[in-house]
Formats: sequence, C-alpha cells, structure tokens
Amino acid sequence: MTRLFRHIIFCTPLLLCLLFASCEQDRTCRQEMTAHARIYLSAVTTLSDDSHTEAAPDSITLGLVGCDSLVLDNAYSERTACVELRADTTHTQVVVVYHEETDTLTVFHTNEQKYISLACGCIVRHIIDSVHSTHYRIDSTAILNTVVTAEKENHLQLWLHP
Amino acid sequence: MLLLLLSVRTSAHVYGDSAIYQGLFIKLDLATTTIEVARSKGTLQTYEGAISVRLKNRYYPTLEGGYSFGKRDAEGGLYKGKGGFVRLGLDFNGLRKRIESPHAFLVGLRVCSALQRYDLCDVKQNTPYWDTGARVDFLNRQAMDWWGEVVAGCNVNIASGFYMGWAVRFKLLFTSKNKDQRPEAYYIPGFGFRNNTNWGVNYYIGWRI
Repeated sequence: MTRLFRHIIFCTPLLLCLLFASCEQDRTCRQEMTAHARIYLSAVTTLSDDSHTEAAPDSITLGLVGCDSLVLDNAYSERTACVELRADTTHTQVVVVYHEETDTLTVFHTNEQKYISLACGCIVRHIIDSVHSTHYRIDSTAILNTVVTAEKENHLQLWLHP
Repeated sequence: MLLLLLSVRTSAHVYGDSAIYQGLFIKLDLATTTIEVARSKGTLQTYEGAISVRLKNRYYPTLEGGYSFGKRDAEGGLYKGKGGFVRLGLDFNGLRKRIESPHAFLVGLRVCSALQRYDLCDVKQNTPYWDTGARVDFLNRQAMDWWGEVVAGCNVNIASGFYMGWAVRFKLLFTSKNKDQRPEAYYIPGFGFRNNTNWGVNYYIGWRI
C-alpha cells in the first residue's frame, strides 16, 4: 500500500502539471468588434398614375466626410452601405453621390463605450438621435433602428429619386 | 517554521490515538506557483497553502488560502491586479480498507471566493475607419468573485509527520461572465483566467501537527 502511494505521489503530478499548464483564456479577439450603421438604399420612381416603384439604386457612391475611404463605390446595385459612425464626436457626415449630384447626410448620435474583453477591447455603441440631409437626390430618410452595435441590422433608410 | 513544526511532531501521536481527532495538517502548494510562473513567464504569481483537520480518519474539513499578483497582456489591453482568495470545504477519505492508514485518497467540495484590486490599461477601442488610435484605461477597480470546486487527490505520509500530496480541481465560476459589459478582471486569484470553468492542479508538501 505504502509503495503504491509513494509511486502515485511522485509520478502522477508531473503528468498533471503538463496537462494543465496549457489552460489559458484566449488572448486574441475572434469576434466582430466594429459597430456599423447600415443604410438601406431605395431608388424611388414616380409613375404617371402617381404610384411609386422602389428598386436598388443603379449607381451610387458613399463616402465619409473627414475620412479618405469610400463606404460604397457601387455599380452593381447593392442595397446596403455600412457606415462606421465617429466615436470622437456626436455627428457623422456621409457624402452621397447619385446620378452625378451630391447630397450630404448628417447623422447625429450619442456614443457609449462598452467593454467586451481584454482580448477584444471596447466596442463603441451608438444611439442615433436624428438624421438630416440635403435634398438634391435624397428624397427622404428614416431611422429604422436607433441602436448601432456589431449586429447586422438596418439602421437608416434613404429614398433617392433619379 | 519547519523546525517549529518538527518540534511539535511528537505531540501529534497523542492526537493520533484519539478516535475522533487525528491531527492538523498544514500544506504548502508548489504546483500552482510553478505553473503560473512558467506559463506567464514570471508576470503572474500565485502562492497558496491549506490547513485541514483529520476527523474520524474519514473527514477533512479544509481551509485553503492564497495570494496572487501580476500582469497579463492580450490583444485588446493589459491587466494588472493583486488579491487574495479563500476556499472552504470538506474532503472525504476514499480508502475502504485500512482507513486508519496515514495515507488518504481524498475527494471533496469547496466554496471559494476571491477579492482583488485591478487595472485594465491601454484598452483598445475598435474604430478602424477613423483610426484615432484612442485607448482607454479602467483604473482602481475592485471585484469579488465566487466559484465552486470538486477536488480529488491524495495525501501520503512520506516520513514521520511529513506528507506530500496532490489534488486535481474542477472549478465552476458562479459570478457572471460580463453580462452587463462592465470592465471585468481578466484573471481571478485562485480561480485562474476568467472562463466559465477551469481546471487546476496542486502539489503539496505538508506537516501533521
């Protein structure tokens, strides 16, 4: 019995230490961490009998004011554009170029910092308060969902006229 | 300390003869410290020990405690913390034959708690389009966590009054995992990295007094 116990006490722990030494929380982020406001785009055509048809805009370009990157440079009729709202101010301006005319869409929002984990850091969640725009090609706007997180939901809708 | 413990060893035989009380055990853990230091390259350190009493050769009411300190970085920031922990529970001696043997196979349960102060520094904000490079700090935070453990191991009498033993632990965290997105501690003293469950191993040297 004593021999058995002494065998167990000296041999088993080394194996156990090797087994458990590898348990650690993931230090690399593996989830979507950027909150995008998704804008649903609709091109509206008024017919002769005053009814409307709605379709994807045939060619549209979206860019952020203050940022070089284009949000959407589209000749293939995409219906949604993902816009990253600013975390350092409470409004974000988007330039919309449609049929060679330029509109500016201004989204007013509040920002909230949400801690996710040490691997991923913080996500900035936005609450959309209001939306204003010029009306060269933008007919109207609507807020579909005020809370902008990393979830893929539509938040704004733009109706454009050709 | 060792000399003190060895000097009182003779009195232990008096307790060993009792039908109810067979001695007080003091143990120091070597494995946790070694594993933590090895895998964190010395940035995290934990020291722990235990006191238990052998009753009726079968029951071991146990109090364990320890202290952790250090820092650990991840892709999104840096954790720095220090704090203590306690575990309270009961072990059963699983030996069926020769239960009066000084050796024991132990199986038990623990209720555990840890209190710590910590900082989360240089935490990344995820705004790649704007690339402001802004980082935030969450400083001087305090947290208390609770968890339960199932423990199995052995306690072996190596020489008169001197024991060695090991234990394997399955740990289940009771305190929630970031439901309301508070900046939580990345590491919990005595529990390990903040997962819903963890495994642990101890390798003890101990003395019966």
